[in-house]
Amino acid sequence: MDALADLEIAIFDSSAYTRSLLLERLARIEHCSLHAHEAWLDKPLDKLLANASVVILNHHVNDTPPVDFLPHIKRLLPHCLVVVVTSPGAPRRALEALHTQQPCIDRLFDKPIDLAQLSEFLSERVTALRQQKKLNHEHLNLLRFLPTGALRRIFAQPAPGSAELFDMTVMFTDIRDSTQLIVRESARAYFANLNRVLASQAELIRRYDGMVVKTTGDGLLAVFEGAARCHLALKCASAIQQSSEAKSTPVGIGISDGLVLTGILGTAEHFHFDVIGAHVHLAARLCSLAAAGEILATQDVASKARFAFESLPLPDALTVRGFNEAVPCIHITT
Amino acid sequence: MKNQFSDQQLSHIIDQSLIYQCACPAQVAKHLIGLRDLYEYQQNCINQTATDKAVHQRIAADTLRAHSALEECLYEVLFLEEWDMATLTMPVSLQKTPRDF
Repeated sequence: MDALADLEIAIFDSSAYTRSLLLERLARIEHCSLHAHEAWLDKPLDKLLANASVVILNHHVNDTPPVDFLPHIKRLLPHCLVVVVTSPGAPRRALEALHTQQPCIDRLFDKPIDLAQLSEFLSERVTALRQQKKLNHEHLNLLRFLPTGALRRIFAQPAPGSAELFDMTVMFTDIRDSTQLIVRESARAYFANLNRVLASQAELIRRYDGMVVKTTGDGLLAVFEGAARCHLALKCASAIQQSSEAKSTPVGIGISDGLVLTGILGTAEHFHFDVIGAHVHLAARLCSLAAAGEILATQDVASKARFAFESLPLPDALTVRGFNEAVPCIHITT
Repeated sequence: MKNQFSDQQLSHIIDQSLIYQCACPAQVAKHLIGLRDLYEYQQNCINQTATDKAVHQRIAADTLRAHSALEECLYEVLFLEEWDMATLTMPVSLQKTPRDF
């Protein structure tokens, strides 16, 4: 998406004469492209207005009343700016009544209009809409790089170093035998492949309502929240292992669940969102123990997500570095 | 209120004069609509005192006079500009080309 692309203004005017006047004058507005239409009846509006940011209707008293047209635009494009130019008196009152019933007009201009005033109004709105579009674009970029939960917490402006406890399911993924891959391929080819694998994993994590916290070299750290978090994490891990990317570049996955500290770490120059806690360490250890194509989850995760799989193997008590007691775990091979 | 032009006809005249700079008949038509709105508004006012009644009568009478004068004016203007009086269509010669602005 090009955030700086011109905004599309659709003009509806049944008169060729006034349509040409509008087109000529509004063509002077920067950063917009104009598309003029004689009528809206019998036209597929969803296609006609697919990219429109502004719709201008010069309504003539002999036109079909736009009682369906204007509300339809607002339903189709809720953020589209709808401007109507009309004659004062009964036509204006009819449009005001329509708007009261179904809000569908952002600005009404009485004829005869001062084109300079209309141009100025549209210029300001086009500038504002472009800024909004740019902000949305930047926000989308942030979402791509940060988990949504992190953004929510960042926007709440917590102090660096402050943390909150959350029940979360933690998942680590890691490419198996990555050293061999690095040696076998060029660094550039490996990086491109790594990006493809991680992008595919991140997409699946988002699809299962998870949040990518960070990349960890050859893998990802993700967390899942909510009552169904274990179920979603296991389903997501299974989808990752079944993906074509994991078939060509095998990964191991470790999953644990429990209380995790989340917060903003860093200095005044650099902040980052992170999660820490025993369950983060445990998931990381399980990931390193998991074989290629395997999901290694704690029995606790498997129990809480009992509907994620039809049947699960018996738990195996694993000795995990840093943990005094053996951890009952489930090996899942999809 | 007796009307020489219907509301529909006034709106039709205004529709043809989209732009402020070439809208003499439309400006007259717009004020006629305003006078009709004013007349209708004051007709619905409640007369609680004799003064109220006198005020409303005065407004009604003067609105009717102004309306009648402006309707005559509009008729003359349209005639002078050679509008098609049957269809109330602006003559092509009066249509401004975009470069005129």
